[in-house]
Amino acid sequence: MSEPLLTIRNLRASVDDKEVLKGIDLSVAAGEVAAIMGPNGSGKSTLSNVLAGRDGYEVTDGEVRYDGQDLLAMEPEERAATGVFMAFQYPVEIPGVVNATFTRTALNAQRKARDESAIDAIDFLKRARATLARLEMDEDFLRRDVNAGFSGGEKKRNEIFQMAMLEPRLAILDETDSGLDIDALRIVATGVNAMRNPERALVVITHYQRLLEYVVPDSVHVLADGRIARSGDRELALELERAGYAAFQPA
Amino acid sequence: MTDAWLAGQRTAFAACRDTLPGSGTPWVDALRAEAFRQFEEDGPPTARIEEWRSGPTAALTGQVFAPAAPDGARAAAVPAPYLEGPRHRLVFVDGRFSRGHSDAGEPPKGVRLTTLGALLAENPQAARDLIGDPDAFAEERLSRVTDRRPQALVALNTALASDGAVLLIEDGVALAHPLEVVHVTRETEEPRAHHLRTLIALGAGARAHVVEIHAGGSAGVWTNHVTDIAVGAGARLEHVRADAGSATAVHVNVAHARLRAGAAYAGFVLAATSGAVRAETRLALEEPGADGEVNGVCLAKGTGHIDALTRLDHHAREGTSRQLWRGIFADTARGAFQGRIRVLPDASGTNAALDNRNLLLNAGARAESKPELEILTDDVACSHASATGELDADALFYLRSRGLSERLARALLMEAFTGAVADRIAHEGVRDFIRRLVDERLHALGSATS
Ligand SMILES: Nc1ncnc2c1ncn2[C@@H]1O[C@H](COP(=O)(O)OP(=O)(O)OP(=O)(O)O)[C@@H](O)[C@H]1O
Ligand SMILES: [Mg+2]
Repeated sequence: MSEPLLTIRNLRASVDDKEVLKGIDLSVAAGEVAAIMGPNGSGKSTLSNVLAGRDGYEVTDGEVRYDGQDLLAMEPEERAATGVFMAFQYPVEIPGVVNATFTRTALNAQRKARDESAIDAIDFLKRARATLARLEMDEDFLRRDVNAGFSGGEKKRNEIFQMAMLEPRLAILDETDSGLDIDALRIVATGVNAMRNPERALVVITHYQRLLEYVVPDSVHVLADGRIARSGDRELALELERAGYAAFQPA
Repeated sequence: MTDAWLAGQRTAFAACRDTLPGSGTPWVDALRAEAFRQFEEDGPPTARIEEWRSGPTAALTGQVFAPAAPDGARAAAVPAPYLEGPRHRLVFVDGRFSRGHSDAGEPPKGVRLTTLGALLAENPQAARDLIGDPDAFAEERLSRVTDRRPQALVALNTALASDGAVLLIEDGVALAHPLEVVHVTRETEEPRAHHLRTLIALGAGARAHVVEIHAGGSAGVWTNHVTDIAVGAGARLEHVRADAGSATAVHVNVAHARLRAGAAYAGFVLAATSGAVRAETRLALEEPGADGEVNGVCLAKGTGHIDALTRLDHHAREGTSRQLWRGIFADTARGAFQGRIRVLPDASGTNAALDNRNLLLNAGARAESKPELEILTDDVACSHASATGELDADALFYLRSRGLSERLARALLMEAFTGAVADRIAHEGVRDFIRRLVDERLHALGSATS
C-alpha cells in the first residue's frame, strides 16, 4: 500500500503554555473514513485546528505529512488549496459577507492557487443550486450573510455545503452532527457519504454512535488526554456507547 | 504659530477681498467684513475648544496658507465624470468654477443650477437669505448658559468664499438626475487655501441627489468647504460628500442643514486620507416629523487624521434620525468620531439612533468614539452604540481555512464592515459609484498594511 494521505507522528501542541496534544500518532489513507471520539476537553478540536493551521497553537514536537508535504509548514490558505478542509465545531458568523460571494471567492482562490481557471458566476450558481438541493437547503442560503443568524443546525449544514462545493481531499468534520435534529442528521450524513470516494479521506469527530450508523467508519480512534488511547473498527464505537470513556480517563 | 497664521489670513483677506464674487455689492462687502471680524475674534481652532479637542488643529494651523491665485493657466487634471448615466456636472478648479470642464445639462423648469459667483453677480439679493449671517452656526449649550460659540472656520469661509455650486429648486420640483460637483486643486509650491461655499435650497416637496467630490488635493492645500442646506416641507435631499483620495492635504468640510416639517436629509460622508480631514454635519430638525440621516465611512492610513463631528438637533416633535459610521485606521493613523444628538424640550416623540464602530489595523493606529446624547424631554427613544476593535481573528481564520489569502480575507472583512453604510445610499448610480470608491480606498488601505 502506498503512503497514507495523512500521517501524524508524535504530535505535541500547547495552548497558552498548556500542553493539550501529548503525542498523537494517527494515519488516514485515501478512501478511508476515520472516526475520532473522546471525552470533552481531550483535544479533538485542538487537533483539527492544528491541522487547519489556526494561530495560537504551538507545535512543540512531531510532524504531520499530508500528500507527501509538510503540512505544518503551510499557511491555512495553502492547506485549503491543496485539499484540506475543516468543518468548524462552531462556525463563525460573518455579517456583511454574502454566502454565495464567499463560497465562490474561496473556490476560485483555491483554483487559482492550483493554476486552474476560475469558475464563472453562472456555472457556480448551477453547481451551488444542485448542491443545496441535495442537502435540502433553501436557495435563500446563498443570498444570506455567512452563518449570520443561522440556527445551530443551519450553520452545520452550511459547512457541509461549503465542503461539497470545495471538494477537498482531506475533510475534518469537527462535531458536525452536534445540534442537528434527526432529519438534519440524516441529510448531513447523506451529504458526507456522497463525498466518499477512493481519493478522499474523511476524519469525523463525533460524540455519538448515531452519526456512525449513517456514515460507517473504516476506523475508530479514541482521543483521551491528548493521545490516541485506542484504535479499532466500528465495533469500538458501539463499545464506547455502552461503557463510556471511564476506562480512558486519567486516574 | 497662530499669530503668523492669523496674519496670513489677514493678508489673504486684504489681497483678495476685491476680487471675490459679489465684491462691490454693499451687503456682500459688509457681510464679508463682519465675517472676517468674527473669525478674528474667535481665532483659529485649538484643542481647547471642546468641539476641536480631537480635531486636526496642528495640520491646519501648522502652516500659513496663502489665498488661491484667482486666475492663471487653468491647466488642471480634471477627472472624467464619476457618475455613470445622466447627470448634471459642475467642476471647480482651485476654488473657482471651470465652465469648460462642466456640463450642467438641462435642469428641469423650476430648478436653478448655477454658481455662487454667477448668483452674486446676477441676483445678489437671492443669495443673501441663503448664506445668512456668519453667526448662524452658533450653538446654544446644554447648561442654558447661552454661550454663543460661532464657528471660526465658517466665518472665515464666509469672508473668503471664492465660489461654489448653487442649487435652488422650487416647490414640488424633482431633479431627476443627480448633480455631480467636482472640486479639483492643482499642485502648489506654497501652501494655499481654497474656501468653497455650496448652497442648496429645496422648496416644499422638492427632490434632489447631490454628490460633492473632492478629487484629491496635493500637499500644502487646505480646502475649507461649507455647504448651506435648506430642505423645505416634505422635500427630500440626498447629499453625498466624498473624498476621492487626498494625499496629504488638509480638508475641512462642513454641512449645515435646516429641515422643515416632514423634510428628509440623507447624508453620506466618505473621508479617505493620509492627510487631515475634519468633516462636520450639523442638522437642525426644526419642524415636526423631519427625518435626518447622517452616515459616514472614514479610512485613514499613514499619519492620516480624520475627525468627524455630527450634531443633530431635534427641535420639534416626532423627528427621526439615524447615524451609521464606520472607521478603519491603518499604520499610525488616528480617527475621532463625535456624534451628538440633542433633543430639545419641544421634541417629544423623537426617535434617534447612532452607531459608530472602528477597526484598527495596526498597533499604532488609534480611534476615539464619543457619542453624546443631550435629552431635554421625556417620551423619546434614543440609542447609541460604539465600539473599537481589530479585525475578527476567528473570522479571518475561517476565511483563510477555506482558501482565501490573508490579504483577500482582510479585504472581504473590511468591505463587509463598511458595506452596510454605502448600501444606505438611495440613488443606485450614486451608490454604485460610492461602493467602487470605498473598495478602491480599502484596497489602498490594505496595501498600506500588508
Ligand atoms: N484557545 C484556547 N485557550 C485556552 N485553552 C484552550 C484553548 N483551546 C483549547 N484549550 C483547552 O485545551 C483542551 C482541549 O480542548 P479541545 O477544544 O481541543 O477539546 P475537545 O476534545 O474538542 O472537547 P469537546 O468535546 O468539548 O469539543 C481543553 O482543556 C481546552 O480548555
Ligand atoms: Mg471540540
